Amino acid sequence: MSDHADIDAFIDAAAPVVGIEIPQASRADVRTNLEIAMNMARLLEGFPLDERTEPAPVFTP
Amino acid sequence: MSASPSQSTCTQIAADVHAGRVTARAVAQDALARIARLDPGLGAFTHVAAERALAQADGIDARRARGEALGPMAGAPFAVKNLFDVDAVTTLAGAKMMETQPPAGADAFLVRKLVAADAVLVGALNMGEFAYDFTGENAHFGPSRNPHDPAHMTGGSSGGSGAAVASGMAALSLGSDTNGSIRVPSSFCGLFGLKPTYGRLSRAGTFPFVASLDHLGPIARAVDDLALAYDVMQGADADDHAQAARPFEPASPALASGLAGLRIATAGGYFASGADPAAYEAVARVAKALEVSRSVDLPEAGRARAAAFLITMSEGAALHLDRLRTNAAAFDPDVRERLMAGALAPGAWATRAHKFRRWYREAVLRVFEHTDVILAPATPCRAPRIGQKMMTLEGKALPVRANLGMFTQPISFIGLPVATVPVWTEGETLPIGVQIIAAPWREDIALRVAKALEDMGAVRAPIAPEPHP
Repeated sequence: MSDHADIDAFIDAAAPVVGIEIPQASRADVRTNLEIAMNMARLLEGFPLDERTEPAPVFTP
Repeated sequence: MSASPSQSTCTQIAADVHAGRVTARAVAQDALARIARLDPGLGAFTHVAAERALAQADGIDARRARGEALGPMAGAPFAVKNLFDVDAVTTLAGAKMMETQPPAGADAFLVRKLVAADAVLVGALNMGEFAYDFTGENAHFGPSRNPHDPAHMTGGSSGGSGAAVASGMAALSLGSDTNGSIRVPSSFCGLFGLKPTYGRLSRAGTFPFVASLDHLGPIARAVDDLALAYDVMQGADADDHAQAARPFEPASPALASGLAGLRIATAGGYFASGADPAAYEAVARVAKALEVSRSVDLPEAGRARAAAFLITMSEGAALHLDRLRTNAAAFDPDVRERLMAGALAPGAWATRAHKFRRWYREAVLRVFEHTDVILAPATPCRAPRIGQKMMTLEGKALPVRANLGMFTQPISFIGLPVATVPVWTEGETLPIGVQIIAAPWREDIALRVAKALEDMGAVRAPIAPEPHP
């Protein structure tokens, strides 16, 4: 399956779970934005990080 | 004193009011008259606080008449992005759907600080909806327009904050900067802007966007004014839990101490490609004025930008999820579609981005072991035209909205302090900005370099000429 089709299927499955409705007119732009994000995530995942690297925000009670 | 008293800098206005050369009321009246004349063509203000401004100005003049001390910003007219709470005014955060919300019950912390210094609030300013914007456009309230050429963008999301100061309707404005929203309008509108270190200034009393990345700061036409406002706005505030425990560290006392001892370099690698030549020419001019020839690399800056993007879409969507569920049609379409995508993004993406943030912070802090100041473009181009969707950079067609923050995002991602300085090229009607980036908590150094450049005449922030009727 292409990324494009995967994202469409993902939107169809995830939107009702999250509880939002994606109007047909918004569909293409939502897909484009998710596609950009997916590529950003792949870029990040291509960088090796030590498993023990803590996420940046530290909550100070 | 200028013939038009509100057109001076904050420090000059305060000196004139202190000395009795002008009253605070005359300055406020002048600013309000200018807003009434120019704002219909610029779209900067969503609320003009005329009554409040005149009452506050009268209070300042009465205190002076009684021989009482006045604050360091006495009479200086300022305005705030409309995500700042202003007492008795509804906080819009650029969103039409917020108009039904009750008015704020008090001023935001930073507004209170400026008012305590006797700066005079003249209004609230237009912005990109919910601050998810680099253009200054707004589907509901109309675009804020660039005073240097109203057919062009102010940049965003603090668009009104840029337009108000560049047109001389206010001497100072406050904006917010999550990914570049102070620095992009400062670049496009030809102004000095300060994005302080993450955690330095309290964000209490403002509408949030991305808690992990949100900063607040001033925009002005003079570096003295940035430093003064920054000094005045410092102070511990238990209401912002992300505020760092830092002592009062004013920038003004050593502002004019020059460049001696500072190790300055330009940012290479990621920051040296992918933009319009104007962006590099601006950095080269500033580097030449500072006699800088060295360059440094901020490792993995492209990935830093990607990580900032993912955290922004994820946290932004979480903030607005209820509104997306119940009132999606009321959003600016350009904002809604990005928030919807963010609402669907897997949580692992944002967590990965936060882990990378830790790595990147440490890598960049190592650069600051041998460098005090890094110069980088603020924007990849001068202000695009309002409504422009695509731009060509190095032969590549790119969407405008997604790319105006390409050079600001990797810097705010780890909260570094930045002063943006405006560069003008002969024959060009629009300016472009350069980021002066310092190590965490060294706003004083970034402002010192900005001040030195201003004193040399290498950077400047003139009021835009008024349009001829």
